[in-house]
Amino acid sequence: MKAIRDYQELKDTFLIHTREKLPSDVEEKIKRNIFEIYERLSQKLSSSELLEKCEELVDQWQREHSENYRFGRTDEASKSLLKLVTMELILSRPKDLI
Amino acid sequence: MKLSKLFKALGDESRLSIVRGLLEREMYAEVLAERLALSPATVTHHLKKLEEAGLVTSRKDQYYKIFSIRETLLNKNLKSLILEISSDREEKKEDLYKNKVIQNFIKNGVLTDIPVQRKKRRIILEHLCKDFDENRVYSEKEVNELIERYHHDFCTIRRDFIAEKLMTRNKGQYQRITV
Repeated sequence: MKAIRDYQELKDTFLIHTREKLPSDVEEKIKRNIFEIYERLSQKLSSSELLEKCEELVDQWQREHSENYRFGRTDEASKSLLKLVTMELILSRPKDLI
Repeated sequence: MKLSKLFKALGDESRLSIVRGLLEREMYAEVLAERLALSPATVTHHLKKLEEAGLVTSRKDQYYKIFSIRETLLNKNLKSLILEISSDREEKKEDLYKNKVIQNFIKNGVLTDIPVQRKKRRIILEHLCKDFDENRVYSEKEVNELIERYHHDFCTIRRDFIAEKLMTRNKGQYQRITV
């Protein structure tokens, strides 16, 4: 129960906080999507599979960010960065809460 | 059709004489052989080459074959012919490339990775978008579920559909655009 409550708290606070690199509605939508991806994955996968899958997604967004940054697509680069930061934040919680 | 094959077929005096003869009227191989003072076997051999190159066509007339020129090809000017055939080739090359990208990224019906490179990404998005009926409007939830069958990151793919103008979004309703 505590784990669920902590996760919900993290979600609520993180959704409010904006980095102001993107329009706030876009930023919130992307963050919500990442939480949604995590929640859907967590319903289907075991803890170790979930970690592995999330790390794969982080890697993918990292590559996406580098590519977008390299080609000067700053908005797209910001979106990729936001996705990976959100997922990393979720994963940074103590392992027993994941 | 290979352009080099066509020019190769025309690069022979006997074959050019056959083409000249057939431009007058359609003929049997035997008549052509007599007119050109060549053996029927030689004329048949040359006719086969011209047929393979798409310059000559034949039809059965009882036991014999009558040969005629394919006017549509001969009436084209050289420039349009070269451009048309090379664009055909490029299209085939492009199709091969697309299939290769799809095979590399979609294994057992699952998208292993979302390509980072724009060109490859577009190919994959076009492929995934085919699952959506053009005459139907989808809710965001439905779009997510359909994408999720291929990849967990439905939010990136869904956004890319819009950015790449493969889908339209209007008040949370999505519809595929006919490409």
